[in-house]
Amino acid sequence: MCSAATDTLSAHHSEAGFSLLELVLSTGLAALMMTALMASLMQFNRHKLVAQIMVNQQAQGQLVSAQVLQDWGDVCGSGVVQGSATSISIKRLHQATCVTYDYGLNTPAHSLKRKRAGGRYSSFLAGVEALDLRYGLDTNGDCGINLWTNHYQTSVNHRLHQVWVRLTMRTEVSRQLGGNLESDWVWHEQDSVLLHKVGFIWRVAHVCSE
Amino acid sequence: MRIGFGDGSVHGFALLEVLLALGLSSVMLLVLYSAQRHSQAVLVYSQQLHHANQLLSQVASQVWAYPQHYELLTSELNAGDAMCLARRQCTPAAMTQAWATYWHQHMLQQLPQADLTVACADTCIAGQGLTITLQWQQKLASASPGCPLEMACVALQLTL
Repeated sequence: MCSAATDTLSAHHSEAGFSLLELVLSTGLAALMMTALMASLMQFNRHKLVAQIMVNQQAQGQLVSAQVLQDWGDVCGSGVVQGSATSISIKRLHQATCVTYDYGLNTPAHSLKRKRAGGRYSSFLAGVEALDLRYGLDTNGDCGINLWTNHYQTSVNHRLHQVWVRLTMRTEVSRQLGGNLESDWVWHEQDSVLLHKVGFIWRVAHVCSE
Repeated sequence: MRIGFGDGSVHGFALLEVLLALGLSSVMLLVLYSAQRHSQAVLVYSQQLHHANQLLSQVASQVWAYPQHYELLTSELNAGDAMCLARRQCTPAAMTQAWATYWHQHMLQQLPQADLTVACADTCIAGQGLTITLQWQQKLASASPGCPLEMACVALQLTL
């Protein structure tokens, strides 16, 4: 390739040292390898952060539906007393007595709140941006849902069959990810959190089964 | 070519050594990249499964609500009236079509080549079994009986 006079490094005569070309080539190669390595490490780190977010979102979704469904599992008396898009009142068993519980969205605290009749509100689920409840009603007595509405009040004229719970959850994002997000993610600019939707249906037990 | 540090041309790295080192580094980067791609694909599959389970649970709720019209729940026509799910009174058939449209427009979009089916084991009467199946394209899915190759299948069995 090159003659020994130009491409060797030695300490003591004119043949010594690296040629300029070798230096440039070595530096270029080193820079290329470092760039590839850094890009790979950064990509690996980003992948790790995205994986953490996705797993968090999944866990959050499963947890929220499990907690709500479990909490509403032991209804008694008239069951759901009333409800709106962002709140619901349910009769639940508490120490063998049927007590009214109110659930709603605590907007400033970004959580769901819950209160027993006569008590005070306390946080029930954290990381909730929005709540949208819809009530599946039978208004013509055929034991089938014929109306989905966002308002419900106990009445002899209709029966509540299902409650469709739609939550918008907040997921914290590492600063390392910066603004480099996946295309289908919804970003909350003000609070720097990711938003994702969780939807599930609560079937009110024993409606039309008597 | 020799890069010497001392007094002769025998010291230093040979071109072959440099090339080997470069080749090995490239292979390592390639392995790292492939591992990452695979891990990403597994993550997407996990997300799809999570999504599919949410959908099956919603379909099951509506099968319970409209046992006589369950076939319309998987109708692919986008003929359902979205207002049936938002304050408009509708017949059971219209309601089931509205749900089918909602699922196709919102939830099934996130699963490639998704196919939702609801089928009764024998006759669709009270006490009989009914299976809700959702399948979509997923190369990572392991082969299972009744599920096409490179497709992921999840099923939910109910008793009417």
